Amino acid sequence: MTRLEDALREALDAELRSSPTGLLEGVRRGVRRRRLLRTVATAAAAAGVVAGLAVNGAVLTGLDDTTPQPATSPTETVPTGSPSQPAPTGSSSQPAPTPTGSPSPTTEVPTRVTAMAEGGGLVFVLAHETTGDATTLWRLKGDVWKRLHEFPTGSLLEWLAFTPDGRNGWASGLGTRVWATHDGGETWARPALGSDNERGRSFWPAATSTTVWLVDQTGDRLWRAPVGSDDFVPATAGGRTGFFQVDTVGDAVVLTPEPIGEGNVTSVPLVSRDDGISWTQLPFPCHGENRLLAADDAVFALCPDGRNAATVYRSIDLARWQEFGRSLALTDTVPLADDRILLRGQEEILMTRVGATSITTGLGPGRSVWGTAQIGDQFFLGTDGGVLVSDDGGLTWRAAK
Amino acid sequence: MTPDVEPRTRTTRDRDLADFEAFVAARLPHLLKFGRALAGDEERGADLVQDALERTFMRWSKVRDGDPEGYIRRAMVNRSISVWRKLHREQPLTAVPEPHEMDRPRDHELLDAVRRLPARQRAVIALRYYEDLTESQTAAVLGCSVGTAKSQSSRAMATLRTKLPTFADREEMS
Repeated sequence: MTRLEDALREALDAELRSSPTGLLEGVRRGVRRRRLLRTVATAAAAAGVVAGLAVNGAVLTGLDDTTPQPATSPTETVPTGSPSQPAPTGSSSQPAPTPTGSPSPTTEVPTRVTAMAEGGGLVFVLAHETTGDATTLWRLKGDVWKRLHEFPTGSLLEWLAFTPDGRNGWASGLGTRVWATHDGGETWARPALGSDNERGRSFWPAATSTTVWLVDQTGDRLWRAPVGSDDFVPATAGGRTGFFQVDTVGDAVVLTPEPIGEGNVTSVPLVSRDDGISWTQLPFPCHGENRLLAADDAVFALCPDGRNAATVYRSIDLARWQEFGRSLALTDTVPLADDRILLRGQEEILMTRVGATSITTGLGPGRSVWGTAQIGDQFFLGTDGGVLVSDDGGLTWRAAK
Repeated sequence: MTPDVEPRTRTTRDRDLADFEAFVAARLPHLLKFGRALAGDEERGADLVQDALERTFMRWSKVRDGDPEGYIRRAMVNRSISVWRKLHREQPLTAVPEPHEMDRPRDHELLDAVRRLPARQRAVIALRYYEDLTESQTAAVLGCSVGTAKSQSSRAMATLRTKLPTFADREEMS
């Protein structure tokens, strides 16, 4: 036993600062919330109509064990707004209408962003607006934010992907179902994925102009569907499954396998330029806990050298890497476009082919960037401190109002 | 779809709830410390615990007779690593809430260094040195080979020794 091991045991067992009382009540509320969501959604699928108040009341009065019924439709459509509102019959062809007086243009802006995507010249943002566990979809068109859709309570969504035309999109989160829209985000439905589209899964979506891909991070599965449909089918990449990340780079798709073994050497990303017919390898440029970072027509990877510095590599042809620049090894690596990447940590650095420039986004050190977008010459950062916009290629940033 | 919970009588439900609450009351301090070790700070650790307990209670009738703490531990580890992936982090955490005052300054320094490890290495440290799991048990929780668990542990300890020169001598025995 070394001194370090002893010290670790003591430190990890140190007394807690806060009292655990209160957490159990939080668990009770969470269980009620999860059951409410499941019960309402299932009842909507099975019966077509939810007697909202009756179901709601029954669940909220206690830790009810109402047995969920099996879904009967290939795609369940859940209305916008509160899950206690009556829901229409599930249908893949008739998305739920947005309730009158519900999400509308507003002078508000998203504050706690969890994901960001672009499509059709628009910026889409998922945000957790309150301390609760509901997610709101926002859309930025020109200078106008619109609160576009409220996902049901309990859907903490953290991934978002749109097709280049902005019409088709997919949203998902850790332990939540995947949702799909085919009308630019106005209405959302749950596509059928066998029995997989249930809570407890974590889907990572990415879309080209023709195909949407879903990596099920918890189930060792890969799904694909033609854009515009909800006809998901299980897929493999040359017979392989077990991926934890999917990215699209132009019309190419890149799948990163779950790493196995020291140094992540077994996690060799696979690339397809022909819609999944054939696959080639793009080994990481270095060992380590690598992750691909995709932006526009390139992917980046960052290789720390163990001395508080790192080399950023870029691949444009998705076949080989080239050194893009060197920098301090910072915490967040945020690709803005295929020719620039933002590095954040104790400092903030904008790296381009010209070199590295120290910048200040205005985000505090405790803030994280959760998504980016580019519309024309404007760059956007979706952060847990709001949305930032840059008009000069990422050198200066301001809050998007 | 298989329901998570079978229809049961109110009496059974009440018993389940009481049973679950007794389990939580007994194990909560331990779980919160494990969450702190996994997440890097108490608040995020408490979030991990609450999420895992909610999931566990939904399946309590199936989990209770097995290894409920093992189920919760695995749920917490999986989620802590998934959250790390989502955060696009190539490097260990640095932008995290300031550590709180602790009785022993050395603990503060040590936990700060653990907090800066990558999530997977942090999980190995939490499982090995807080949960006192063996290497094979740690590998089972992480869903990886024993060799991978060993290498992650080795890298984590090497990093800690680099960051904390006080512990640089790996051969020193207590």
